[in-house]
Amino acid sequence: MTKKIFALTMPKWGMTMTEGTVADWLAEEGDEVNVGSDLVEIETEKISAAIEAPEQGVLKRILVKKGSVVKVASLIAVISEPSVNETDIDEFLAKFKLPDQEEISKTSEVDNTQFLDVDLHRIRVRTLGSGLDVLLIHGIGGDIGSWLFNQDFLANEFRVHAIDLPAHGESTLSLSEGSIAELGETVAKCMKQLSSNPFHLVGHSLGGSVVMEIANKFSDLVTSLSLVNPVGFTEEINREFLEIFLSASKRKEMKEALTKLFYLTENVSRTMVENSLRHNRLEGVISQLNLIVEKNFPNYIQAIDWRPLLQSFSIPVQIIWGSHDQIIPFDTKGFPENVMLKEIEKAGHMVQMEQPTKFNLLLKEYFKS
Amino acid sequence: MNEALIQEMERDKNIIIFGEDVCGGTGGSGEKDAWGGAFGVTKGILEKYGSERIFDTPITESAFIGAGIGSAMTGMRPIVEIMFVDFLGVCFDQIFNQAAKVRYMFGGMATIPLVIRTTFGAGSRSASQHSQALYSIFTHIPGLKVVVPSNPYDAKGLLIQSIRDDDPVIFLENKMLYDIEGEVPDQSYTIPFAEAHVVREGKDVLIVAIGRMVEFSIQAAEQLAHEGIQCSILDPRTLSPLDEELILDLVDECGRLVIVDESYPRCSIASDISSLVAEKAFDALKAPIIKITAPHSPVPYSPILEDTYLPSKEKIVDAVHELVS
Repeated sequence: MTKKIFALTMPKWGMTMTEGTVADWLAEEGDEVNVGSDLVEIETEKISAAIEAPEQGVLKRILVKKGSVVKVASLIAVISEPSVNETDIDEFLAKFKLPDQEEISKTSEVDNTQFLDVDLHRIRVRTLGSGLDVLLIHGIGGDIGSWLFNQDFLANEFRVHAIDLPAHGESTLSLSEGSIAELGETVAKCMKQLSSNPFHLVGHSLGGSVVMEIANKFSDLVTSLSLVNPVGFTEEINREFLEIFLSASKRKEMKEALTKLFYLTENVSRTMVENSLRHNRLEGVISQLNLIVEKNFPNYIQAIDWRPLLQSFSIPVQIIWGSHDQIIPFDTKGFPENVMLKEIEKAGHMVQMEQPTKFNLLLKEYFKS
Repeated sequence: MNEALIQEMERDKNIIIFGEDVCGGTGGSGEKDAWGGAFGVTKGILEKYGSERIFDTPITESAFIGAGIGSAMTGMRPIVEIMFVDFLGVCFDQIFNQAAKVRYMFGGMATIPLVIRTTFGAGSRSASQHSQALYSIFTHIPGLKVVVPSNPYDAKGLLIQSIRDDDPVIFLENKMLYDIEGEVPDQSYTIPFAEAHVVREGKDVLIVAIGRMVEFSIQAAEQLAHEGIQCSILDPRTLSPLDEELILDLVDECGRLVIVDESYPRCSIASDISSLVAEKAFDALKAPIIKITAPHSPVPYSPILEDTYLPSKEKIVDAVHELVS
């Protein structure tokens, strides 16, 4: 019986989160819910986002009132199959134990953010969980925060590393040419330090092209590739986005740039805008990012086309893209049959942030298969 | 802040620093750089850049502020330290009639890239003449820029921005904040003026807080969150120019406004923001604006009275309760 009852708990987004506020319920008790439908809006000091239903069923109980603050991993609602009766739910609730908060904070200490020295670079890597190695590589202007809604979830079953590319996040401003070859070689050297096993590689945007480079030159390090709204498969790239993103010094301009990354404008939070401004205003960042842009998008046209290479590829490849990507419009034509193509609805360029539940399930099933 | 000064002095040879005891000890027989300013902000700079670029002045504020204006007019980029903002009273002509007017009266042909660094604020048992929060006076004067950082990250970025700005900037440091800690990047960076910082987001009440009051507001908001009341906190960071747009946007979102300002209540930044909102966002208000300020009285020397005198977490919590009840 219990298999049909699912707990919905307060998520843990990032290392410092210890509690969250139930800002609003987006469904009512008794509502039928589908996988991915929005259930509840959660707010933390840093971000706010909707949690989506992880399973199909009926929202049986709402246990935390709107406006209340509860600790990470606390039970906030119960979903079950329609047939489950109230007595079983009560029994389930009675048995549910709030995980020890000390345990939770211990795990976050263990979660192991480290800096790897690779050539002239110092690279930040955050590692969570255990199992098969997975590496998440962000796009231009991103950092490990690009995987805020993904890394913790995937870490339940895999050993998940998220990396800051050089000139991004807390890694050093040490790019000499900004080419995909330089980025790929740097990441490959990090991978060798992180594990002796091959990796499931996940690359978003520019990170997608980095992933292709690694698979091409260091194929023994790689088990599978997941390319997310990737660079390297079409000529187009949104020039306006790049120009505004790289020149924005004020909140308003940065918001205008970031809005282009999302399907819904309201998904661009103030914290996101602030974090991007904070990073870009550091002396040296913009000139490093410009190196990458000039090298990879000369005259705002993508320099690399990986499609011909895919024909002869033996490593499994899946491509995931948001239906409303304004940065790199995706064209499904011309891909060989061995490439799995997965479109996610109602998502822009930051598909992993905008539709995390669907995105996470796609990756999980793909790695398992 | 010390790092900001050094990084800028390294970048631009025209940057010089002077004021009372910014080295402290020069000319005597002991350690040359004994003080590094009354609060140690300029410590070590004498050793690094020598007495041509940093030097102590006599106790004559009007004279060395004048020297700052003159050297700025002739191509230097001086940073002048005034130990306490209270002492600027003897320099008002230099600041209000000279520094603030030169660019305007010379039709832009001359500029005054001068930074006046000074300290303010009650709480250190320093009595009425060393504890005032006089930023509102400078905000009143067109031609001056007024910066009040509330945390280490902003202090560094705003100081670098102030040094690179071509107009006179009054940079006010709350003396109770020198010991607080926070993450600060090693690299140089600037924070633009008139870009307020949303410290926290909440839908029920907006708290606009200046300088040290931001920390009190954060404590209040944390307590209120446990009661289910969500507060936004906005730190204007610069009072002139002021990010009016973001204040009005957030008033629109929250509908209730508390302003926390430790300066005197009359003709103050609190009353200025209050009038801005009453004029331009009246329809968004669900309740009257509450200003939490010092009373219209000098800062008392008695510790008990001084603590009562200042805004506090409790006063902020009470005000928010009043607004949402």
